[in-house]
Amino acid sequence: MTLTEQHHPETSLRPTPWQVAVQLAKVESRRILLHPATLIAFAVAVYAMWALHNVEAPVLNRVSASSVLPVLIFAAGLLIATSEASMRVWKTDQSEALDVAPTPPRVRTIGLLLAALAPVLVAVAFQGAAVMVMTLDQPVTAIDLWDVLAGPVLAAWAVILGVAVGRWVPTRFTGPLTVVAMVSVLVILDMYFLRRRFGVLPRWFGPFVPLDWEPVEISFRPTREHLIYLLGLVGVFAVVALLRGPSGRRTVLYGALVASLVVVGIGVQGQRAAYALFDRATVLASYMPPQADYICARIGGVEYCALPGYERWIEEWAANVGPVLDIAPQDAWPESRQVKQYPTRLMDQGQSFELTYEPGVATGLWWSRGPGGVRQADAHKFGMSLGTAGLAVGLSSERIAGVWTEVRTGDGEGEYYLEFVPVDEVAPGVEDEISYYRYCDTMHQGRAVVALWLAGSVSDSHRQYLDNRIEGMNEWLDNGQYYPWYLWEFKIQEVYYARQLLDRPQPQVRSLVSEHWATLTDPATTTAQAVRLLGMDLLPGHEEWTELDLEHYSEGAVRCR
Amino acid sequence: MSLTGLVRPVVRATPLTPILSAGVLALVMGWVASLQPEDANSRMSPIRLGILTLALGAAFLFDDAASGLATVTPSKLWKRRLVRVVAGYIAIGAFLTGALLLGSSGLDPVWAVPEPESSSIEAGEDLPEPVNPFPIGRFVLEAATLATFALAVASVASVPGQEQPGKAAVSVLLGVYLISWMLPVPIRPWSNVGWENWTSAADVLLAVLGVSGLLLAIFSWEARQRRLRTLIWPFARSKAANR
Repeated sequence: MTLTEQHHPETSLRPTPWQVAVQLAKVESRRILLHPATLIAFAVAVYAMWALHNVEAPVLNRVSASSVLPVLIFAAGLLIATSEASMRVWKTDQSEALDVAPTPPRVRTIGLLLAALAPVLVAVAFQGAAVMVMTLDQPVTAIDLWDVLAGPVLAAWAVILGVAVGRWVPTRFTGPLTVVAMVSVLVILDMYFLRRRFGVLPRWFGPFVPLDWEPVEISFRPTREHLIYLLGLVGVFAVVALLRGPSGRRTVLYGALVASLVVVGIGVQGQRAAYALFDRATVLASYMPPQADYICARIGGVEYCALPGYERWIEEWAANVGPVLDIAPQDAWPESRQVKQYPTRLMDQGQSFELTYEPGVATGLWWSRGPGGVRQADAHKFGMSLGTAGLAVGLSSERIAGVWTEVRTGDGEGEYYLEFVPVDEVAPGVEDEISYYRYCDTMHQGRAVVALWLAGSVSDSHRQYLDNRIEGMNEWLDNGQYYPWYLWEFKIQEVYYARQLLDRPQPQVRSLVSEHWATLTDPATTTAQAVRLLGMDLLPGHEEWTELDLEHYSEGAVRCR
Repeated sequence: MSLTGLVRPVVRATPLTPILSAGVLALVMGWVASLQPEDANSRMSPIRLGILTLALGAAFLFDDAASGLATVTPSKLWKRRLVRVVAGYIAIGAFLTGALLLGSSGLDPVWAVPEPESSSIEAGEDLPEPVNPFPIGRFVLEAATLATFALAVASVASVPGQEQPGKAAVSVLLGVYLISWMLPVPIRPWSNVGWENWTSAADVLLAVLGVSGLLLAIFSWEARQRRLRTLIWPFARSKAANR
C-alpha cells in the first residue's frame, strides 16, 4: 500500500474512466433497446423479414443481402433512440452542468459508443435466426458472408451515427431528421440521373445496397469492399462524436480520424476498382450456354439442367413438368424435352430478352415455395407447367422483334411506327432499330385453351392459381387485354374456356383431347372450333370479342406458328 | 384569453425549428427531383421524402416545455393548439410550395390528374398535346394527411402538465409510414400517376386525414382530453402524477 492511499483510502475505490464507461454502456444499451423508436422499428423489421422471405424458396446468395434490409429498419429506430440518449448530457444548455458532472463528456460518449454492442448483438441474433430458418428450408447456392455481415455493421453504424449527431446537434428532431436524410441518400444514390452518368457504382456509397432486379450472379456486388467502407465510416462517426466537448487527447483522436478516413478510402477505391473490372457481358456469358457449367439429370424422359448451386430444385421442377406430360398424349412435345435454367428473373416474363434460349422450357433463378395456389410467387410453378403444356401443344418460342419503321406520308414527312416481325426475319442492318422483343401471339388459337387446361390439371394449387389470377377480371374479357404467363400472352377468353374444362371430370376431357389432338394443336384451329370439339358452348359475346380483337389488336400481333 | 391575444406568445413558444430544418431538406429533395427525367413518377420518391420530413417536423408542434404553467393560465387548450397548428401549417405550406415548384420544373403542374380519354381521334384531327402532369393536389393531400396524422398522435400522447409528445409521435409516424408501404395495393395510400390504385389511394388518404383530424379535435378539447385518455391510455394519469 502506498503512502497516498494510506492518506486517501477512498481513491483506491474510485473507478477508472473505462469502468465508468462500461457501467454507462450497460445503462444506455438498456435504454436504447427499450426506447419506443427501437421497439417500433424492431416490430416493423420482424414483419419485413417475414414479408420478404415467406413466398420464395430461399436462395442464399440473395438472402444474404435481403436479410439486411429489415436490419436497416431496426437501425433507423436505433439511430433515433441513440441520438436522444446522446443529447441528455447537453439538454440543459449550461456548460456548468458538464463541469460539475461526476463523469466528463468524453467518458459519457465512450459509454454510449460501447452501448452499440448490445444492438449489434440483437441484430446478429435477429438476422442469424432468420437466415438459420431459411437454411432449414432446402436452400440453394451459398451465403455471402460479407453481405450478411453488413447487417450487424449497419446496426453499429446507426448507433454510432446517432451518438455523433446527438452530440453535435442536441435536439430531439436530430434523430428523425438524420433517419430521413439517410433514406434520402439511399434514394438519391439510386436515381436515374446518377445511374445515367456513373452506372450502378454510386449505390455502393450508401450504407445499404438493396438487391438489383437482376440475379446476384450477374449483378455488380462488391460486398467485401463495401463492408470495409462501412467499417471506416463507423470509425469516422465515433471519432466525430468524441471530438465534441473537452478532451485532452486531441492528437490521438485526429490520428484515429485520419486512420478511419484511410479505411473509408480503401473501401471506396476497392469498389471503384471492382467496378472498373466488372464486365457484365462476360459474367452473363459464363451463366449461359455453352459456357455455363450445367448440372443435368434425366427424369421421366425429360432432361433438367440447373446452374451450379441450384440442382436441388430439379426434383421440384420435375413435379411440375411430369404431370403435364402424363396427362397429354404420348406424342406431345416430341423434340428437345429439356428444362434449362437461365440467369433471369421469372420464367422469362418479358425481362431478359437479351438472352437466347435453347429449345425447351426456360426457367430462372427464382422459385416459389409453400402450399401454393394463392400467391404471386406461385407463378413459378404454374409457369413451368404452362411452359411445358405450351410446348406440348406446339406453341413456338420464337422471339418477335418490334422494329421502328419510317413511313413517308403524303406531305413528305416521315412517321415512325412499330412493326413486329420474327427475329430471324429482321432485315440485315436494322438490328439497332429494334425497340423491344416479345413472343408470338396465341390469340384465338384453340391450342391455347388446351395448354391452359393441361397446366391447370397438374394439381389443385395450379387450378387455384389459375382461378386467382383472373378473379375479378371479367371486364377484361371484352377489351382485348392480354394476360401474360410464361413466354406467351394468353387472351382471357381462352382462360375462361380452360376453367370450364377443369370443372369437368379429367378422364372425360382427357379422352376428348386425345381424340382430337391433331386438330386441337393445329395452329389454324380457332378457339371457337376447339370449344365445339371439346363439347363446350361459346361464351356470350364471343363473336363480338373476336371481331374487336381482329380489328384492334391484330396489327401488332404475330400469330404463333 | 382571446384567440388573437394568444397568437403572439403561443407562436413564440411553438417549436418551429424542426419544421424549418425539415423544410431545408424538403427543398433539397425538390431540387434533387428536378434532376430526374421529365416524368412525374420518377420524381415521386424525393418529393415524398420531403413531405415525410415536414410531417416529422410537425410532430413536435405540441411540445411545450412551459405546459405546466400554461395549464393554469386562463386559456383553452384547443385555442393554444389551434394557433400552433395554423402556424405550423403555414410554415409547412411555404416549404412544400417551394419543394413542389422546384420538383415540377419541366412538367405540367396540375391539381388533379385528368382521367384518360377513351374517345378516338377522327381523321385529319390534330393530335392532342402530350400531357405530363405533376400532381400538385396529390402531394398536398399526402402532406396534409401525414402532418395531421402526426399531430393526432401527438395530441393523444401528450400528458397534461407535461406536454412533450413529439418523440412518441415521430416513432409512431415513422413506423406507420413504413408499414403503409407494405400494405396490399388496394388499401395502400401511395400510388403513382397512371397506376391502377391512383383513385383508391386518394380515398385511403382522405379517410386517414378525416380520422386524424377528428382525433386531433377530440384530444385537444381539454375536458374530453382527460376523460378519453383514461380510456385509451390508462396509465397516462398515474405516470404524470409520478413525475
